[in-house]
Amino acid sequence: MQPVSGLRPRTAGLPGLCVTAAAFVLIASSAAAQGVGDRIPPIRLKTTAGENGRLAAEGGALTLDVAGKQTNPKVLLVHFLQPDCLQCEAEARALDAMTAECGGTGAVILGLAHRGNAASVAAFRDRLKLAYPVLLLEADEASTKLAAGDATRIVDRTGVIRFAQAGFGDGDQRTWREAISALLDGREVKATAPARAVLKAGDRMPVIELPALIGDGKLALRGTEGGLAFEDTQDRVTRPSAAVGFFSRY
Amino acid sequence: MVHLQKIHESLAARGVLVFVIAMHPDAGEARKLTRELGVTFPVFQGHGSTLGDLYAYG
Repeated sequence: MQPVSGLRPRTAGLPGLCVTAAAFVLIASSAAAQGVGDRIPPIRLKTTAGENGRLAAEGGALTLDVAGKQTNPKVLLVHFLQPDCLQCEAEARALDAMTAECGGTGAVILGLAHRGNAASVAAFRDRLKLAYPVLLLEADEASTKLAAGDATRIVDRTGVIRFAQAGFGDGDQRTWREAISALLDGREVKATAPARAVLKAGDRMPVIELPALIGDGKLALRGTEGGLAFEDTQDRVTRPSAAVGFFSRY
Repeated sequence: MVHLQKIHESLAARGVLVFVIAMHPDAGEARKLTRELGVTFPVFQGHGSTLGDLYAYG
C-alpha cells in the first residue's frame, strides 16, 4: 500500500495536503528511469522449490542460470513483483498473454518476486496459471533499487537495460512489444515508458472526488488557498488541518 | 488498514483526516474487508478511476 500524501500545513493558508509521501511515486519513477542504459547487476535468484539461480551480464552476454540450466536470452523482460499486489497480478496476466508470441524468438519473460516467500510466490504463479517462470529475488542493494516500484525492465542480449517503467496500466503491452521487436531486429528501442503522473513535495494535490466505498454518494477532498475541505456523502464539509492518504489494494 | 485505523483514532481529535483510496477491483470484497477491519475513516472507490491510473502505482 503506497501513501498518497502526507501532511501538515507548512504555512497558514496553504492546504495541508502536501505530498511528502507521494515521494514514493517519485522514487519509483526515477528508479525506473535510472536503469536505462545501465548494465544489469548480477542478481541472485531462487526458484520456489529452493533451487539457486543467477541472472548476470558477463563476457558481453546476458545469462540466466536457473537450477543449473543456463540460457542466453536475446531479449529479457523482467517484471519485479509482489505476490500480494493486485496491480502486479494484472501485469502478470498481461505478460502471460504475451508468452506464446515470444516462444522461439529468443525473447524471455521472467517474473522476479522482490517480496514474499516461496509459498506465496508459488501460489501467485499457480493461481494465475502463469506460463512464464516466476522466481524469487535474493535481494541486495543493487537489485532492490532495480525492483523499486514493481518495475518492468527490458534487457538486451548484452545485459544492458533498454526499457524501464514503474507500475502497470492496461495498454502498456504495446510499448513492451515495440521494445522487444526492436531489440530482436537489432534496432534502437524508441518505445518509452508510459507517462505516469509524479507528485513531489510542494505540489498541489489533485482534487479527489470519487464514490464512497461504503454508503451512497461521493466523497471529495480539495485543497485550496483557504485550506483543505472534505465533503462527505451527506454534503457535510469539514476542514481538516492535515490529511494522510493511501492507495490500498488490500 | 488496521494501523491506519489506529493512526486515525489517534490523530482525528487534532483535525487530521486519514483516508484511503481503495484500488481493489471488487468493490463488494473491498467493502466487506473494510467493515471486517473496523475502518471508520473515509474510503474512496479508486479502482477504474483516472486518479488511480495516474498515481496508484508502485
